[in-house]
Amino acid sequence: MEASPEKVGAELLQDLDKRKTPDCLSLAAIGQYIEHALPSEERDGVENHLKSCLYCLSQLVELRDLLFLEKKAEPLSPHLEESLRRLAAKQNASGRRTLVAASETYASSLKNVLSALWHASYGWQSATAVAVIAILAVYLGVFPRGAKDPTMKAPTVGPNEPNVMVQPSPTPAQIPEVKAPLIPKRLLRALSEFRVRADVPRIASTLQKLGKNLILESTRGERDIAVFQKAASSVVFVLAGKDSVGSGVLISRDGRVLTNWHVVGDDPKPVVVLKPKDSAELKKELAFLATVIKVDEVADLALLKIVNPPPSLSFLPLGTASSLNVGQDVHAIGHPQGEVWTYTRGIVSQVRANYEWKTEEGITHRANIIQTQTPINPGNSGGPLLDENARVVGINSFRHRSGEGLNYAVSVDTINEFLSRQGSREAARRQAPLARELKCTESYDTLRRGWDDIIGCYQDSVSPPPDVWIVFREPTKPPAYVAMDSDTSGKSGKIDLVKKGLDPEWKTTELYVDSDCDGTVDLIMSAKEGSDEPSSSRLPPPNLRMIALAKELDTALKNRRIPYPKLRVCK
Amino acid sequence: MRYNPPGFQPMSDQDAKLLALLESCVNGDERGWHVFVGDYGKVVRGCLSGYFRGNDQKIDDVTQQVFIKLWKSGLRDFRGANRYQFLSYLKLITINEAKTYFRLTAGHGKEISLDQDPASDDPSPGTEIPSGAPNPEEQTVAREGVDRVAKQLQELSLEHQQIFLMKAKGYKDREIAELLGIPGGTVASSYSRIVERLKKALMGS
Repeated sequence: MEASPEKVGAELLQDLDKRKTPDCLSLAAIGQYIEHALPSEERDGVENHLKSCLYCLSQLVELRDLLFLEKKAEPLSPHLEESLRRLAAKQNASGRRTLVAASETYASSLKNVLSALWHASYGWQSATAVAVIAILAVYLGVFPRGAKDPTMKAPTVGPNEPNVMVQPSPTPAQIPEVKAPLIPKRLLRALSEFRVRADVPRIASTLQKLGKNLILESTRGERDIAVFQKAASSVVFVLAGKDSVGSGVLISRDGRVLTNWHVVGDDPKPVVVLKPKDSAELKKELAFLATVIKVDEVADLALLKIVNPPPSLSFLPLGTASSLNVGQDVHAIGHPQGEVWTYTRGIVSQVRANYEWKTEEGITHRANIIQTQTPINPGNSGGPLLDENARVVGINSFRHRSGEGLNYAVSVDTINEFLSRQGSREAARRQAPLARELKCTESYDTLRRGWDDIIGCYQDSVSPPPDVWIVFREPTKPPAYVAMDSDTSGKSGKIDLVKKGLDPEWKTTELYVDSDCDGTVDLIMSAKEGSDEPSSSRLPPPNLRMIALAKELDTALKNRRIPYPKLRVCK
Repeated sequence: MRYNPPGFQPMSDQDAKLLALLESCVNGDERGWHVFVGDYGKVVRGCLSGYFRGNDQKIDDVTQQVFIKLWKSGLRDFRGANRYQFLSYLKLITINEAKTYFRLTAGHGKEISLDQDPASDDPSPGTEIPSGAPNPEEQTVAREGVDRVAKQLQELSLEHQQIFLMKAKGYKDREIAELLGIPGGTVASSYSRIVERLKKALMGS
């Protein structure tokens, strides 16, 4: 039963993991300790910990060995090295081919959409791009390189550092002193792709589904033909959310589109498809990304703006409500059941003020409405109701569930009221954020790292990948908030994670987690930077809700004038 | 003392270079891969040489397996941000591949000892378990011994602690001397003194 120290030592190694504590050192700290890259005051801290922690000491030994191997180990035999190198060529040859075969058809069909989208979404993504650049700046050495820096502080800006953090241009290539191989493309991709990737397959599948040509009847009365010809090119196809399809109408030359709120829903970046000149079909080249300028859920209205509109858009003027008479002819153009640019005609049955209606989802709407006989169907939603002069007098919104010929459009006076509300904000919206104001100290990967198992929404398989908002209160400080919408449950647009720095150095963070995406905080965790695991977690007090955080974030974003997806939180 | 390493440090040049290299490999760039093989082949080989005790054929086999794994998915799955993390990730993959190799060549692994494998809490089938499972009584005794030794160890200097740990992990005196940058003789004499001291602590109950 005599245990020798050697034997005991071997057993000690077996359960080293149990000796790990929340205070244990990060691998980076250990590595820098080994390589004498730590400033003296931190070095002492590390050394003290190592003396009393066998787990970290063991890590140190392992890492020291690896670092030694990295520097001094004998190289592989030339023969083996050669065969390992050939691995790439071999795998490339076979792997690539299958990949190409699988994606060839898809790629070619999507090529146009992609390019259009990239183009269209460029402006929209400027915020993202800025974040990307900011992150790039970190990578590319705008901040002092840690290894030999004696102060070794988390990135704060000192007086001798360059003043211009980031070039205001969104192309990383224009940042001075960029060496191509140093660009962390993986990061760049992760951040930029999540915007576009979500859209492209969706558009492609919908276009495929709906991509039939519709030959329009040409046997209508002359006036009706005139109305259609005048108005049709200003009616757009709106694609939002997962599969929400509706109509919309251009009301300005710079690409503002009026539609229904229930068409757009939560989607911050609906797609608008314009009508081709000589036909009525959906064309990929005419698909444009749009932003939501404002919505009115009560009146069921939404105002969109095409991000990069083509020049010389035709649009329709608004009519007046007072000129409407019961019995007057009204016209509708829309895409009922996906039959694109369908023209229908009817008469005004009644005009009703402050009309209230309920949807199947239990939402109560109220607005001035026009009741018409003009047949409308799902897909007509958001499309214009036109008078004889092709002026917009309403937005076709709903119909009676069981009755026939009972269709309703939100009246133009409600529309006018909606449009005049918060007019100044629109102007602000179009301004791009100033790139040099923004700086990010955390990479997307860093944000994610370590929380995977706890939150359960950051597996790589989740598609689309999470949206990330980074909020900067002060240009030179770390972000005040980082919010994510990981979209695990298809409830896109809802924040389910807010990461908040408690101290200005962003060393301690608090994490608010809404694990079931219902808008309520389910768990609060705090973590020290450098550790990959939260040091404490607790349940939230009952009054603390994600909605408050979302609002705060909302305000911060607004003040920064960053275009962002509308944040919707369940009530 | 509570020590918090600075958060989100600016990345060092080396880290940035490594990440860029990994990126190019993930993208299927052959030149990047060539550089990677040259830089890290020796690390993998070095990790393995401890386990296989100079059996070059096996080392080469497993090295190849490791690199196939890295090329296929290993590099893509790496989530860390600095080269320390990558090195320990690389070691993890290497150990896993070595274990797989042991499993596949079960029965032929007589000359292999796994007792120094730091990550093998559960020796994989086909490897030799150093001794028969200790009976419960011995286990309790051992448990107490471990705690006592651990406590005693913490009284020692950092260097001595490291020497003891490395010995326990199966490093040779020569290797320890090289890694710690001290003369080989010092390692041997220090170790015997450490063992003496720990023995006393074990007896002293």
